Amino acid sequence: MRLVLQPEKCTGCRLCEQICSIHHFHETNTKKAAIRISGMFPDPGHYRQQVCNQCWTCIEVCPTGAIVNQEGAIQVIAEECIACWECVESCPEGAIFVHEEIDYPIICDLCFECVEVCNTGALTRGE
Amino acid sequence: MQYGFAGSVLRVDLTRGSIEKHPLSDELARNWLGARGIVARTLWEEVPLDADPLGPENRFVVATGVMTGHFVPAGSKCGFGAISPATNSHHDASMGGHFGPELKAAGYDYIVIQGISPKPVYLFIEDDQVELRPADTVWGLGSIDTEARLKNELGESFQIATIGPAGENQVHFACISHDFGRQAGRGGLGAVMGSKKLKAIAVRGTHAIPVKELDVLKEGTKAVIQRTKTHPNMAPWQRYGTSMFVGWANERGCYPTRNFQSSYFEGWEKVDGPVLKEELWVNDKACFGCWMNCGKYSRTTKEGRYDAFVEGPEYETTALCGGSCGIGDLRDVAYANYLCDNLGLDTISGGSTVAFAMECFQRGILTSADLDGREIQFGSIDDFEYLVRKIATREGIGALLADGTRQAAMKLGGDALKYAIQVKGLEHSGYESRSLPANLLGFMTADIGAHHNRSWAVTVDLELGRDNISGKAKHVVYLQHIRPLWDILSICRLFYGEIDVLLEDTTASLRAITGWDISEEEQLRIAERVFNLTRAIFLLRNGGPGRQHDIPSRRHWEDPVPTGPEAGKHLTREAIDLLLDEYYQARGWDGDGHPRREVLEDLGLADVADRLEAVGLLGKTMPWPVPSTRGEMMKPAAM
Repeated sequence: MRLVLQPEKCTGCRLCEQICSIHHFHETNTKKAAIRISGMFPDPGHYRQQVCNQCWTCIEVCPTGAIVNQEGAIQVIAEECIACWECVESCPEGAIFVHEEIDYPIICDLCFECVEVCNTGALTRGE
Repeated sequence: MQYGFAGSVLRVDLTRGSIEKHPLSDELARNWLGARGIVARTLWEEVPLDADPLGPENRFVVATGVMTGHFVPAGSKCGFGAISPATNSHHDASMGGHFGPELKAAGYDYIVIQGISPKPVYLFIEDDQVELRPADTVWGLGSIDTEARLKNELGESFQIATIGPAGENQVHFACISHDFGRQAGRGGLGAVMGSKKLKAIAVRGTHAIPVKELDVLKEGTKAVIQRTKTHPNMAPWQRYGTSMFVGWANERGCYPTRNFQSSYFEGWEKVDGPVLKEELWVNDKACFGCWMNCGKYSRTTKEGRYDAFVEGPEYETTALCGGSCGIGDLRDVAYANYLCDNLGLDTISGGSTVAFAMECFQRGILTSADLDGREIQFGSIDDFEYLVRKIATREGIGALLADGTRQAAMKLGGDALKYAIQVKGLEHSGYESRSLPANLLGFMTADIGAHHNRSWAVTVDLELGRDNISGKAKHVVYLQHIRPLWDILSICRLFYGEIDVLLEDTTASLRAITGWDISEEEQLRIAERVFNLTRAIFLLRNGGPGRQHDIPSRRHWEDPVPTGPEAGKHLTREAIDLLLDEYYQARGWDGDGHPRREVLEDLGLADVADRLEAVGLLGKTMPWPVPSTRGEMMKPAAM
């Protein structure tokens, strides 16, 4: 299972960011989302989607084993995390996020809530 | 803590360089809900009636609404307001994009800015860190260039609202720009920022906005998304956005052409939506929380002449910078759009002012001696560029035109005022209305001047017969409540109008967000409260009788439409008065267009009635009673 990104279809509405923070933190706070949409304007006028692509680099670099592969999706075990942010620095996609109120990294766990609200096909579920 | 709101207010005095934080008033939140409600109340309480719109006493208000930033249909909106230099009255403009949600995430429901800074500054906000920073590096830059520069310096996640050179030079139709193509466009609010030496506001926030019942809100909005994804209007809106109405308006003979001389633009097919999509389109662009993505991002090129990125052109821009300026090549229209955006000019009043100058030249009111030897013509993008650059810098002919068509016409004298297509100093939106009396009535009576965001009643005319005058006013009143209500709530009204997101849906969202049980009827009364308050501000600042300010250009009854499907049509002066008579009656105002005490007290505005009465502007007793419900929704005819 994976999240399929098609940035050329992204319109920057950020419904994905909203639903992500609601689902995982029970609040509307796009800064706590595990996906980040950024605009590239005025030129070339496209959006960039940053979200985990399951490369597992973070699992390898985590010194405490706080990041695990749970049936193909990332799980962060908050109690094991020492907030060293090695994972954030090593993520090739820049897709691990931190928020000052949260003492562990925010990483996509493939819940696919975002796919439900995306109306353009920029985010879809793939095998 | 009040659910739904951020809870704090910023007050900035630019003269003193001071910034204060205050708690949000519960009374203000509950009775006015946000955005233009907060703007109107703030202007009413704080701006002296004789204050210069471009002086230190005017307040520049940036106000989110109760639904801004929430998981609701396009909770993207942010209200901007001040006393307008164009109309000398309350003005507010509603802007989409991402600015409002970011301001609320930083912890602020609204900002009130007064005074004049000794030097150009921008307001920096990152959660609790709020400061005035020097704007030396961006003062003088275009809006698009300023936003790019500030995002580069501060980070992409900052949201920027900025003015361009036109705002700095206090052009009366200078806009505020954001997100490379969203604007608080009308009423010259950019000039108010410029007068205060405030170049921009940059904001980033990391907080949640409290919600009473988040699970209810989440499931409710997800259901609305699923329901509307397959609405028949969804696909065309996603594909073309507002540009698809170019053909629609021309086929019905209501497209402004050569400064509203005609209502049909021959060759309109070349500036219609499909051309935009097939030849200029780069990407779709949505505001925060919107799944309809009507924004179209474009690139316009003409070899050896221009190469520019621009959001749009939207329908209104094609109407005023296209048809009304006689420009029939969409690449040129998109370039005109880019010029206005980067100079910081409203494309509606900007296009209309250029078109006014072109007609004045056509009729010999302006001559080449006024225009550096040029002979300006409808259809010329070169003349368009010449004029808007002059306007933005107030050089040459620009000094005359920069105050808008009404003031320019009054200086020019003669017949010029007939060619200024405006009401109360605000130029008409893009619908030629000689055979759309209800729509014209909406323009005539809008509190801020001739703008479609208060009432767009074209469908009322189509449904009830375009030649009919009587029986339409009550529907215009309803539209003037329901449409501004979306601005007050701060969600995009296009969901309501186009894909059947109902007041019933958003009322459920409002209840889940705030815990308040505010009925649909009460929400409409809040919109009516705001409308009557802003009418009172207008009357107190501009004098009575109100009726004299509600009369459009006499072209509407003197000149028949020359071409197109509505050729030969025109209104009469008597029809204009009949429209107003029925309208004032439907509102419970008197025959001069002054609100009566019963209405004001019913809306909780007894203090407003007192102030009007003190200067003889309170509505007189009339033979007709004040209706208990003002405004009536038009029910579509049975299928």
